[in-house]
Amino acid sequence: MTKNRFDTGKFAATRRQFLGGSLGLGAASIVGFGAATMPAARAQARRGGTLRMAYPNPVDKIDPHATLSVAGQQLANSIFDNLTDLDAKGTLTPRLATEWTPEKGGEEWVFKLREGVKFHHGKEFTSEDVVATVEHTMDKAVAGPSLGTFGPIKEVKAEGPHQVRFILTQRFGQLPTAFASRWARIVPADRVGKMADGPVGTGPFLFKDHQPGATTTVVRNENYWMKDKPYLDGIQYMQLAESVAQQAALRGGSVDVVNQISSEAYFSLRNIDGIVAYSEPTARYQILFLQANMAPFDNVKLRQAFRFIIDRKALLQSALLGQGVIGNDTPLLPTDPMYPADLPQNDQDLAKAQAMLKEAGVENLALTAWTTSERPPAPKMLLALQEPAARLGIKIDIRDVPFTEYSANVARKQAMYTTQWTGYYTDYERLYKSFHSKGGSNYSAVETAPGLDALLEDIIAEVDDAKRKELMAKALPLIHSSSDRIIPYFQNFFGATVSKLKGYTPPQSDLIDVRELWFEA
Amino acid sequence: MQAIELILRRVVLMIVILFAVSFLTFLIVHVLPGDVANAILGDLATPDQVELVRQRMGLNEPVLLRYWHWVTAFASGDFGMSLAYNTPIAPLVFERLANSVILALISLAVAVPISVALGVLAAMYQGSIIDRIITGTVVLFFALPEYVVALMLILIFSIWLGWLPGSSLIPPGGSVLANFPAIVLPVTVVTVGMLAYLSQVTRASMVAALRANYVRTADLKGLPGYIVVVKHALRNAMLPALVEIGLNFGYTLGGLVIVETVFSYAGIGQLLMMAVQSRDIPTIQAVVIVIAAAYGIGNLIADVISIALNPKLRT
Repeated sequence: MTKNRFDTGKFAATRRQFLGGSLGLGAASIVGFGAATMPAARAQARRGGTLRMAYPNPVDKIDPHATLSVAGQQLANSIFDNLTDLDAKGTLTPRLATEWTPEKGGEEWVFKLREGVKFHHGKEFTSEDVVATVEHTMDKAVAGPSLGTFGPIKEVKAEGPHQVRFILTQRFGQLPTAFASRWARIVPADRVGKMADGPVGTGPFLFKDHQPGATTTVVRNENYWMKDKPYLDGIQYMQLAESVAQQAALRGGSVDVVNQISSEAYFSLRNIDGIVAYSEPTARYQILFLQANMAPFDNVKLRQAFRFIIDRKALLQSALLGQGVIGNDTPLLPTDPMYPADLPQNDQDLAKAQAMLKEAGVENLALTAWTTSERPPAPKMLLALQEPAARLGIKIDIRDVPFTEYSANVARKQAMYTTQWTGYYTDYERLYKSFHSKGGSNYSAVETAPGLDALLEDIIAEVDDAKRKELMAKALPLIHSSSDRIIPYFQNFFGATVSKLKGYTPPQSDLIDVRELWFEA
Repeated sequence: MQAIELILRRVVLMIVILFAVSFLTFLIVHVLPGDVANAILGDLATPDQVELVRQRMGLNEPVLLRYWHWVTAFASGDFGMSLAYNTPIAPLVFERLANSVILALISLAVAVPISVALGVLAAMYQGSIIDRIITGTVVLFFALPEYVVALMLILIFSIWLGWLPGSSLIPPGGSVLANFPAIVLPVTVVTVGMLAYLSQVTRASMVAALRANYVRTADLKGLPGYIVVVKHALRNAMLPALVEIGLNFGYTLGGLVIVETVFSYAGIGQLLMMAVQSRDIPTIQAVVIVIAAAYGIGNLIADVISIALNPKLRT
């Protein structure tokens, strides 16, 4: 199905290799893809047309540092620029910053800024805007979800109009990657804290209109610093909640893109003429969470035993209709360049689980497992656990509750429940926060394997990728065997577009690069 | 005099009811587990962050105090800020209400003549095959949940035949009427839901009217059948039907939640749905009050009409 996205057919082949799991081949192919197809796509790109892009949930807030919905973050991605960028495959590229250098082993970083860039209201982009933005996201009282998004910053200083120095609270090797994150948008110094009145950025599109809960409109920034971009005249972000309505709207020509659709919608759209449907692996995963600071899962042997109960292949089929990737209890996709090649796959092995339960010294376990149907297909994960667990003498009672009740009373407060995680690019976000005992997203707030904290500290401090990979090869096996998270699968992204829309790359972590989109004549 | 007193009494009663509704809504939302801080931040947020949001939104104050703050502000026209969208609620609610009223009025304008015609036909041929077909069909549609009817219509007219849009997205700045094809399907769903009730009320009143002595008199005077039916029987039979229509107006507005959500129609029902999902309490409150007021006003209008048409109450 990916074949018809590009005329050359080259990408389809490279994509298969990439997904085949061969690390070397995969990495090589990505480079090949970028070099071979991008200039061709650009040569054909045509200006014009307004894109109508639908999401199941509307733009919530137009302030880039306050928005929580994917549509809101996508809106921010069209109005603002970050200092750095990650392309569709996670490779770091310059955006408002042109180059960066670590100093003092990564405890300080110096960023050079792009010159000649103007904000939508005419102000020139300089280091004072970066300082003001970063300071805003460090202020607990106003930062909201953007709090700490630029990393562990102690101080940010302008060094002339086009250079900024970041002094960190700890060594941080992936600071430039953190700067590409969804809340790290640069706003003008004279509008900091006033974004709710009308967002102003340097990005490819200008904010035009916002009807809360309905449609939000942006139009092309004619003075965008990337010459010839964006191609579209404008974008309307809309909301379509129902699967059938999404399909009808796309087929009937009321919208051009539907993002975050269900797997069922994907299956019914993928063979329709004039529509391209996408099902692409992402690093978004669901979790069987075993609260490591609560009985009975404070027993590491029990956490280890639970890794061998679920039949992951069968679960992937039944819960995701096969549209996903089997997880191996680490937050990294097996195709990730940092993934240790020799990590054995955790999978159903009831004899092994039985032996481990015996070792753990637990008998006649009766547990309640919590989930919420508002995060499909998580309840199916518990069903896939319940039956084999019963064969091992573990009685599991499943409780499905509304999401708000789940947020208030289940997460961090019950011993066993399902949850889900978005894919992140920095090891700080994807590993440190979740698995370091002091990490903000470590629900158990304990070190789940001896030595893990120290390894994670070294990983985030390391500026050299090769050395970081060596450290990962030590840390990931600990997470894989003993952490409080069992990760049975990664979920695919599902979306569909009209086939005359070009330049659409299904996102690995929710957001689409709207600068590349264009309509075929 | 009697009529004015009746109407005044109804108005006072309506205000009391609105208070009761607002208080009950507030309490119900309050006893649900989880609040807007949880709904907004989800489980990713640390307990500190949740606490911070709670403080900023004043969610830690006692529920009665929060209700009092809300109700006094509301009475002075300040509906507050939407927690989910961070915008003032009043313009949001009234813009959405206007869209919903348009949908409701168009639906009524379609449903009333059809229902009356079907009701009259069924009554004239009472017990015949025509009566049974009409009654059977409308009851069948009534029995189908709106959700099912909506999805069936989208499937047939939008996906299979491709005649009508399956969603009611109105472009920014565009009016509902200028995008008429977009509302054909939602209007149909609402109409189908109303047909059963309205046509059966008309039918019942018509059956009674057709048996009345004045109709027999008209018949015996030798008046043509259609004049007897339309001028004599229907005029009298319309009274209860009109009351039903008034009552239905409020029902229609409140019942638009499902239709508007399925079709992504930017009305008050869709706003309510999203507000409930995100535990946006001030918005839920405002929308519920507005819908309850619409019910009340619909009832009031129905009362006024029936008083105006009822000679016994007019003196």
